[in-house]
Amino acid sequence: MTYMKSSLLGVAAAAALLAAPLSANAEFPENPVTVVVAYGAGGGVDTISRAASDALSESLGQPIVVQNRPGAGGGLAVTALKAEKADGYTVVGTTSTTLTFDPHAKETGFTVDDFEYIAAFGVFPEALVALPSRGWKTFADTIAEAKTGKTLTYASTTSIDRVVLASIAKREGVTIKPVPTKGGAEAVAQALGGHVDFAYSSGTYYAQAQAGNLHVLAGLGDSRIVGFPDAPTLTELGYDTSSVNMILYLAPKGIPAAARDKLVAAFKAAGKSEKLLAVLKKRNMGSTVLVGDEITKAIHAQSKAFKAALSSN
Amino acid sequence: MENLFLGAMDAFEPLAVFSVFCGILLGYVVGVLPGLSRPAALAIAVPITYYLSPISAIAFLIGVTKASAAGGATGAIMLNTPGEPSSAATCFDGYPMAKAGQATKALKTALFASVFGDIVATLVLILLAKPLASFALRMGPLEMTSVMIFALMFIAALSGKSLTRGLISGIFGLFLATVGLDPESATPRLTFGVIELYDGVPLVAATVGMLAFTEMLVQGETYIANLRKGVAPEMMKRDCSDLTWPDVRRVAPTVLRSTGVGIAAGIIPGLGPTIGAFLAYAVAKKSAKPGDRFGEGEIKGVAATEAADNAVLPASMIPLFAIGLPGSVSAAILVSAFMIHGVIPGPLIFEQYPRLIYGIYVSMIVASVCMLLVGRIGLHFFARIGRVPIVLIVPNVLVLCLVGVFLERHQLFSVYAMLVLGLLGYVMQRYGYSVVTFLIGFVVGPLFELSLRQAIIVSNGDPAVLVDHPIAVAFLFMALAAAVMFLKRERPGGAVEESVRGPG
Repeated sequence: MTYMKSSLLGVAAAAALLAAPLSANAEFPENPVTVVVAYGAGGGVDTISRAASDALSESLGQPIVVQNRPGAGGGLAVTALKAEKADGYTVVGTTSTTLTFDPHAKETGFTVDDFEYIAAFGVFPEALVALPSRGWKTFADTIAEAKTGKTLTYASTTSIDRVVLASIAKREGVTIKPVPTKGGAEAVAQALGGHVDFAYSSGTYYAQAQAGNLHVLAGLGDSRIVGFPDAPTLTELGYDTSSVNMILYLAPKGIPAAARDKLVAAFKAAGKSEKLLAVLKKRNMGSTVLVGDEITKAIHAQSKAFKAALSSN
Repeated sequence: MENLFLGAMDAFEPLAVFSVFCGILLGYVVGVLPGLSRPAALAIAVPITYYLSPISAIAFLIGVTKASAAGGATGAIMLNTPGEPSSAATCFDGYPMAKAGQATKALKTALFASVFGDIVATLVLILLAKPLASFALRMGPLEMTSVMIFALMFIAALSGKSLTRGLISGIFGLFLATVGLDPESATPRLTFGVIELYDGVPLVAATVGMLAFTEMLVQGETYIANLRKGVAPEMMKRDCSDLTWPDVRRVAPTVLRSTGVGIAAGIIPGLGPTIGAFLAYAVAKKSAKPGDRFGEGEIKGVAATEAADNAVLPASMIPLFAIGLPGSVSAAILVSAFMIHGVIPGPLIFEQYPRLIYGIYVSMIVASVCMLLVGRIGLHFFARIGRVPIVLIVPNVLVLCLVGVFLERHQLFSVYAMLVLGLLGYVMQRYGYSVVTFLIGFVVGPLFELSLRQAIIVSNGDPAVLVDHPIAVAFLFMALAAAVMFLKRERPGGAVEESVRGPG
């Protein structure tokens, strides 16, 4: 019995010795890949990352470990990623504005140049909404009312909407005061309760707008919001300002090219999976999937645009 | 009617009932053990629900939330260490009761009051969700600010023997709450470049540190001091108490009133169970009858806190279901469970998913019954905690504190924050500054600041707009009346009823 045990151990040791040099040449990934979600469990980034994980695991041939590391609007996980080994085994999922906007607006331990961008899924249907009883058809009517000299208030949720609206107010010579809120649900409630003139919301408004309780004045993205074809974008209204917020996946700068290509291919495949597309649809985030060089370009362009918008204010 | 029937069938499916039961068990474990907290449990539980059907997922999370509220009383009564911050006020009377050999009576009161508050609030949710939700919408920045001034005024009266020290603690709590990003400009305040502080001092670290960790340090110190002096450690009196009918009749009005307070705190978004429970305790204390001994083992004190604590959750789902606005942190986490399954809480939920909503209603009642069963069986074991030597309890609870705080966010920073705040709490206790008022300041701080700043913006800094806000005026008036009443009582030589004085 003892003899058998020790011989088994010997075999195991030999196998381990044999395996070691082999694995050095083995292809990425030979271990599970961790996707760190930069927001809490159950949020948009979390739901979509988990929906993608099955497809990712299938194409990479390794299990995907999803972890939550919420804090500082995604900044905590991204800061930690910068210190992570550049081996491709850790990918962070966060909102794209964590990279494109935050480094310009506040002190962060990272910049947009510190990372490799793997992929982005969906676009948040950001919009400006108001009670239908206001009688505003689009945001142009809102501005017209502000031009009569009336001070307007709106429920704000992020620094980005403050930058966007400040630049519009400055151009039009009107006063629009942001009322800070804890987040989308509160902003929508403030608008519904008539405590503010209108609200910015990145998606919570959708059900209320569908029910006819809120009216979509304008979309903030590059294209009109799915389901509300009558609401113009801010660009269509003549403002050179927009906000595109996606769910972005990034890795530390300098990961091996082979690992990067594998990850890009896996995220591309996951972007086509039915499960992911269904979740995106339910969250009204469209079906945009950008990978590899496409997303890298887009992220750098958005970062430049936000930098310009911030310095002009 | 058909949907009610179908929903009930879904709720009674074996897997759904099993999920509720598991949720209740997990919630009870988390509630009973000091150090493990509801936010930590939910952070772990939410990812599990990705793999369940919508009804099982939501029922599971509701079970966790409800049972952790009910279980939180156990530690408060047996160890003077609340399992959840919302049960902190249960310590005031529950622990003295246990020390006097009335542990079973206190535990039963807590359990029955919890279940009662829970069921009544659930029925209110089922029957009155729509009309009550419109009230939540009317709570704008001015109204919220006045409600909070009113709540703080009432709770300040609990500050203990010295009003000054209580106020100092409360103000320091408010001050600690200012750490983090400024709500208006998003500029970091008092963060000293530490990115972990951008979202403020972690709430779980603060509550676990100051409630559980501090209390264990105090108890450990007492034990060592006694050992040095050669005094035998103080043992709890033999427990041969039970809840009697006269007791039930005596606490019934308190339980009813507290349930009302809890429901109101649930509907008003943001107040949450901790504020609701403290408010209910304060109201009970202020309406004490001659002969009530609040702070020395008054059964009404236990009943008031626990009934309100458990009434908050179902009530906080009223604005959630009707308008998509979560009334508490736990309700906000339930939103994510809905969203995972593509159900968006809000105006269309009754039209789009009536079967699911009725299923959830029935599951909530099932959860109440499970809670009663688990709590009633557990009571036999809980009542014996008093016989466990303190040398075993202190180290185990300390370890649970470390683990529980780490689990919530998976970061060591929270653990350090907990240690620092635990030591701060110990020093504060030592010099007679209430940790409880400190924590209330800390919990209310961010919401109070935000509402006040919102109110200043929307009113343009002009108090005359109050004319259009009758609800705000009413709350401000009540706050003023309460302040006058309390200060009169506090005045030396005034008609101070020693028995209605607060605990330290």
